[in-house]
Parts: sequence; C-alpha cells; structure tokens
Amino acid sequence: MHNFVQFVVGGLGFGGIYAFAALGLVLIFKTSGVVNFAFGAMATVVTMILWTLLNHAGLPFAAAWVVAMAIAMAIGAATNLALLQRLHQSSPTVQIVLTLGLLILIEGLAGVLWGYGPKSLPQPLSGTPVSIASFLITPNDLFIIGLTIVIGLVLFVVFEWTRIGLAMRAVAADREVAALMGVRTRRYVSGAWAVGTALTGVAAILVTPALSLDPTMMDQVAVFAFAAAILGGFGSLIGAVVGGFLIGVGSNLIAAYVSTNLQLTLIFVVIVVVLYLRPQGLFGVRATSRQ
Amino acid sequence: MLRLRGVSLSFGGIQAIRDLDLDVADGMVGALIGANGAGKTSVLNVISRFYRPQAGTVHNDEVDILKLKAHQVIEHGISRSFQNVALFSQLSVLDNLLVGADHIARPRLLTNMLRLPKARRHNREARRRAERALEFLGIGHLRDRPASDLAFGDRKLVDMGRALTAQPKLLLLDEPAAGIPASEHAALAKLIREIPTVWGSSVLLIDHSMELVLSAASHVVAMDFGAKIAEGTPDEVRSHPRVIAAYLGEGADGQPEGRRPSPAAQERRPQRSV
Amino acid sequence: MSEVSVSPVAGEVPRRSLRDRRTLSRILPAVVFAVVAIAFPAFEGGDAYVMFTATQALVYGLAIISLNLLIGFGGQISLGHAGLLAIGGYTGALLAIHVSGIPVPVEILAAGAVTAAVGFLLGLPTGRLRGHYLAIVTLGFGVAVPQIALNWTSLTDGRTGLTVPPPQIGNTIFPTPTELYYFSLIVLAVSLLAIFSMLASSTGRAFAAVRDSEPAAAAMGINVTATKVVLFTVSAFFAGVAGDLNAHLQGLVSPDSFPFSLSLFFFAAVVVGGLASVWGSLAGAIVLAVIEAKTSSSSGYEPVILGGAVVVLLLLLPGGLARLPATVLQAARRVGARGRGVRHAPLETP
Repeated sequence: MHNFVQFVVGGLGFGGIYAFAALGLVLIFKTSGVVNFAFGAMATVVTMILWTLLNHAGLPFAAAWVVAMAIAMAIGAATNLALLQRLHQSSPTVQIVLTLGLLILIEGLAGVLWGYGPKSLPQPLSGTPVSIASFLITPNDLFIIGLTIVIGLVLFVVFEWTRIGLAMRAVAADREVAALMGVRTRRYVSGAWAVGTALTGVAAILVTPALSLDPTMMDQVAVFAFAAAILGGFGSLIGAVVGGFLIGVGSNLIAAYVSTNLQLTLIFVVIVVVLYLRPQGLFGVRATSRQ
Repeated sequence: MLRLRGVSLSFGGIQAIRDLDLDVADGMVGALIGANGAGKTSVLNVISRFYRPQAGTVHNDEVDILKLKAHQVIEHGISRSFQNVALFSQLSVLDNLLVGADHIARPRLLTNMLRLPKARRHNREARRRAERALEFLGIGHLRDRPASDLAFGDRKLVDMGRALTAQPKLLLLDEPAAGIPASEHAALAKLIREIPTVWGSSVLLIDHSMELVLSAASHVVAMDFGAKIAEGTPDEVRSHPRVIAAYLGEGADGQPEGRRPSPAAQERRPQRSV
Repeated sequence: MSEVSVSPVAGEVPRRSLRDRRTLSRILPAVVFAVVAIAFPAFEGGDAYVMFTATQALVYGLAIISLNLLIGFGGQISLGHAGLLAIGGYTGALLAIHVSGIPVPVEILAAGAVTAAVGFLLGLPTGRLRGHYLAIVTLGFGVAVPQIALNWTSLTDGRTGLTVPPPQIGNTIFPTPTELYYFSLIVLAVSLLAIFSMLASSTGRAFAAVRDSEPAAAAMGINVTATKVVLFTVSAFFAGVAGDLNAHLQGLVSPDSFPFSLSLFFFAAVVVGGLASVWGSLAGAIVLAVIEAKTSSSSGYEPVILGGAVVVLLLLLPGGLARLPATVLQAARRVGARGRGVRHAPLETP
C-alpha cells in the first residue's frame, strides 16, 4: 500500500507538467475555438530560446525564464494575428490542417535553427527528495505542484470572476455578438493565445530535465496533454488541472505496475474510453442531441 | 397513405407539436401552413425521424415509422427536401441526384470495387432515374456543375430533384418557395401539382406562401403554436375563422400579418381586476 | 413503386463525346502517368538509388491516396496513418518470414485484410467523433502502434525489427530495384482501378454525401455511422497494402520506421496535393519522396518545406496542387480577356 501511494506521489510532478500543457491548450480552445495542434512545438521553441539565453547570453535562470515567457506570449499572439484570424471563419478541418502544418513547420525550423542533438536544462529547484508523512518527494516536484495549483486557481478566478474573464467568455460563446457588444475580440483572443502559449512553454521547460530537449520532445507530452484535456473536459480550466494530475499519476502507475513503454498506448486507450463513455469529461458540459 | 395520430413533440420547454392528427392520401398534394414556430418543420422532422415525438404514432401504409432509424425512412417510400437546401456541395448536380437513387438496390462494397455487372447496372439505372428528374425540373443543362456553383433557385430544384430521384411514395417538401421570388411561385406550384401524375408520389409540402399552397395543394392543414386549427380545401381553410383570427387577417400578398400572443403568454398576463 | 413513363426523351442518357472536357481531365492524367511510369526505368533503370526513390514515390502514393480517401473524399481526419502502414508492414513481413514460399499477392491481400480489420476497430468508436476529437484519437493510435510493436518483442523483435525477404510468386523472386519498381507499379495500378471504381459507385457517393451533409445523407438512405466505419476500413486496407510494399522496399520493418512525423507528412501531402484528388496525391507523393531523397533527416529542411507548403497553400490556394492547373487556366483566361478588351468570361468549372 505504501508503495502504491508512493507511486501516486511520484506521478504528481509530471501531473503538474501535463496540467500546464493542458491549460495552455484549453485556454486557447476556450477562447478561440481552435485546437492548436502546434502547441507543443511552439513550447519547444520557447524552451530552445530559454536554453540559448542560459548558455549563450549567460542569463540567470529566473531572468531567462521571464524573458522566455515574454517571448512565448509574443509568439502566441503573433501566430493568432497572422494566421488564425484569417481563418477563424473557416471550417474546423481547415483550422486543424493549418495548425498541423504549423506543427511540421515549427518543428522543422527548430531543427534547422538549433539542430537535432539533444540538449539539457536544469531543474528550477534542485535538491534531494524530502520526506513528507513518510513519502518521498523532490523539492522540484513540490514546486511544480504548487505552481500548477496557484496558476490554475488564478486562471480560474480571472476567467470566472473578472471583467477580462467575462469578455473572454463572451468571445468564446459567440464571437460575432461579442464584437457587436463592443468587445475587442481580436485583443482577447490574441491575449488568450499569448497566455496559452506561455503556459505550455512552462510545461516544456519543466519537462526538459526528464526528457532531453530536441525539436520533437513535446510530441509525447502532447498526447498526455490531450488526454488530460479530454479527461477533464475540453473547455474546463479546472478540468485541465485535475485531468493533468490524474494522467500524471495514472501514467506513473502504469509505468510502475505494467511497463514504462506502454504508457502512451494505455493513455490512448483512456482517451478512447472517455470519449466513448463520457465525451464531456469530468467537468465539461454535455451537448444535447434531439434523437 | 401517411397517418399521424396524436403526435406531440417538445424540446427545451417548448411545445412544438400538440396532439396532431394528419393524413396524406395517395396521389394527393397536401399542405401544412402556419407562421414561423407553428410547428410545420418539426412535423417533417418527426416523419423523417430526425426528432422523436414524446407521444403519438406515425404510419405509412401500415409501417410504423417511429420504429425506424433516420436512414431507413427512405426505404419505406418517404423522401424529402430541406429548408436550408442541404445539397452535397462538392458533388455535381448529377451526382447529387444519383445519391437519391442509390438506395434502390444498393450494391455492396466489393461489388462496387470490382465493378461487377451489378454495380454497372445500378449506375446505369440510377443515371436513368436522375436524368428523368433533371428533365422534369428543366435543369438538365446543369448536370455537370458543382452544386455549390448554382444560383439559389436552381439549388432548390436540385434538392427537390434528389428527393424525386429516390422514387418516393411520399415526397416531403420543406418550404420549397422560401427565397424564391413571388413571380416564380406559380411555375413552382404547377411543377408540384404534376408530381402525383408524373411520378406517382403524393406530396406533403409546408410553406408560408399562401399563393403556392392555394394553387398546388388539394388539401390544407393549418397549424398554430403546434396545434391543428383548421383543415380542408385551400379555400375552406383560408376563410376559416380560426385561421383568420390567428393571423389577424391576411395582407394583400397572402402573408399573415401580426400575431396575437400564445396561449401560454396569455395565461401569464396579470388578470385585470374587475 | 409505380413508374409512370414520360416523354421518350426523358430517361435517355446523353452520350459523352470523347472531347468532353470532363472526361479528358480524367483520362489525361492517367495516360500521362502510365506512360511516364512505365517508360521511366528505361532511362533511369541503371541507377539503383533513383529506382529506389521512384518506388518509394509509388508506395507513398498509395499510402497518401488511402489517406485522401479518408480525409478528402470522406471528410474525416486521421493523424495516425503511419500506424496503419506499420500494421501492414509487420503483417507482410511476418508472413513472408514464417510462411515460406507464400505468393506475394496472397501476402499483400492478407496484409491489407489485417490492417482493414484494425481500421474497422478504429472506425467503430470514431464514428461518433468529429473534428479535433477525431484528430486526437487517431493521433494517439498512430503513436500507440509503434509502441506496441516495440514492446511485443516475441512477435516483432522489438527495436531490432524484422528483415523482410524479397517478394516472390512461386519460384520467381523480385530482388532487383527495377523489378521491385514494376511490381509496386502493378500493385498501385490495380489498387487505383479498384479505388476509381469504388469512387464512381454508390459507395463513393455515400462517402461524399456523409462528408458534405450528414442529415441529407441519412434522409437519402445512407447509414452515416456505418459509412464512416466502411471508410476507415477501406482506407486502412490500402494503407496496409502500401505498408507491405514499403516493407519490401525498405527491407526492414522496425518501430522507428513509423514515427509521428510520417503521419504528419502524409497528412501534409494530402493537403498539398489536393483534397479528394487522386492525381494530386500522387503528385504530393512524388514531391515527398524526392524531398526525402534530397535531404537527410539530420539537415531538417524536409519538415520546413512541407510545413511551410501546407501553411502557405491553405492561405493562398485552398484547393491544393490539384487545383493549380485550373486556377492557372482561369487566371490566364482572365488576363487574355482583358487583353482583348472583353469583360472577363464567367468562371467555368474545370
């Protein structure tokens, strides 16, 4: 039993990472209705930039992180303005194809600019595992968990209880009507893209010490993030956080009791099962049909 | 012969159809009229099994339609057009019509992939039916055009053509005159009148245009807030007191003018003290 | 159902003259492709690497066409097509290795059938899904299959992979690049015949109907969910055939042969070549094979070119490469009309 709980605790760190990635995905989807398939690749680029800042500009970690976040926001907003705005009237298929094209393009650019050789980044918080209630957990994992919960709550509060959040919800519900009501829709959608990209960037930065940094690093994480978003309900910020932790813990349990190599496969099964049994996930809203 | 008995449909707190009885006899052109929200399209959607009514029965020649799935309705002789003209926009006009004929003796996948004689025969036969419909509607010259390329009026004809190609016993027409200039309603009515003789199908059409209904249909049912308020020949219905009351008289163009509040709204009004 | 005869004119099928533009636009690419494809080895047959690339183009062609069936003709999405190729490849390899002397047509049909069965299973739950949910599920599938191959070491030798013997019929083996090329060409041609027949039939029309309007399709007697499942199954069958060909071409199947990026490249090729255009997909396949041959994966330009092409094309030329001749013609016509001082002619459909 003790081992089981230890495995659960051990999965929380990755859980927070998946939660961040899912938050970024869900925030953009909630506001603009687009699933940004390139979200992982964009986050990888942000991480590559961080790596460059650390190793070639000699910046201290915290400062580099802040700069990287700012750049992430710029990338997100720019992508929306340059491309998605043009196509926000188009069918979902067109948008999917576009973000997939971006995925290929951005991964390729990352490869051209930084090469395919793996790189490494330090953990934000180093240190040996500490013991809490007889379970071991690293300071880094505690940091990740805390950060995830704090950011998740902040986002939730902003979205539900502030005027900015209200405007974003209006844009999400009906962009045309919101515009007619005087909401500067482009501003809010770009803002969501900016913040969303930064959030996924955080996930990439936090996951790099465990995987190694190369252009396709986030491909795997993306699958887990999708699973988290779907499990939580694609459109619920709280769901993204809860889903992220559940997937993180779940995949750690799979690694411990079945095999590390089958994590992706079983998570894929989870996705299918959830979509088949309860498509709205844990916190989503069920669309009704009349038959 | 189509028979609706006691059909009631509600969704989202709205009663779309109340206890409706409706018959469409063989060889007849029947019409359902009523203002927006009267429940007309809902009736068609119940017959074509897009909606499930909370109460009532629907039979076509002894077949219990409510036991069928949406894609099985056509096999029992009922086809339809759509108010929003749901064409297969990336297909040609001819291909759109061919889909209508495909349900008749549909070949299996392998037969089609190997181009066995059965598949070729099916295509030839479907083509023959489609050409007949194109000829009847006068749109043969459009057969190779992509459906998305057409003017609105032509698209409506393709929609109708697709339903006709299916060789139905009963053809449901959902607002065939909507978006068509009034000057063309007479021609459209003539076309619809000919369907029973040329195609052997009965017709149930719904529309706002009184002119179309008067000249095309032999039997009219008037609805208001989901319930039937009058039934009979076009002249009988148009002069029926309840129909007139529902529309506060008709304007010069035969369209209803103004409305009185729904029964539910009337109940909510505060009572005046006497 | 009674049928009343009308005038003698009604019901006659108009005959198409050979000069009819539509028929020409269908036959011409086929003829051009056939001539080029058959004559090609006469010029380049000596160069093994060129023959390899050409065969790769043919194999990719079938893979991309099978994906286009799903996306362009059927209106669905799949980001896991490499997974289907993996199943076809492994099935073919295992049969070739363990069933000595298996005639290659049997092997190919078996590989296709097994992959079709998997496609069927994949299609069952996805019948309900659309848009990004469908994309995500298929993405997961495409990632899961190589993982399973990696772990099922008793069957697949894990990371090492399986060495694939050359295809054979009876006592005849096709080991040389040119023989493999012609063999792949024959398989592609037969597949194309089947696919074209299917597309021109009630099945093909059902796919398109479901793509364009599900309610109307249902009203016309099409079982929408069943049609989607059939679509996945057929697409998977040809993907499995392509996977088997690919296995013989590469000589090896291993989990590393089917990364997520391969699924993405196929997807990009479908879009770049043109949705619902078989010849466009072949063109896309040739482009893909050539780029792959000219660049190595470590230089990384392949994804940049492909990804950039997708993005640019979506913004400028939504119809893909297949629409390019038509778009160029229209533009030329407009320029010509202006030059003659005539108001520009109404747009004709190509």
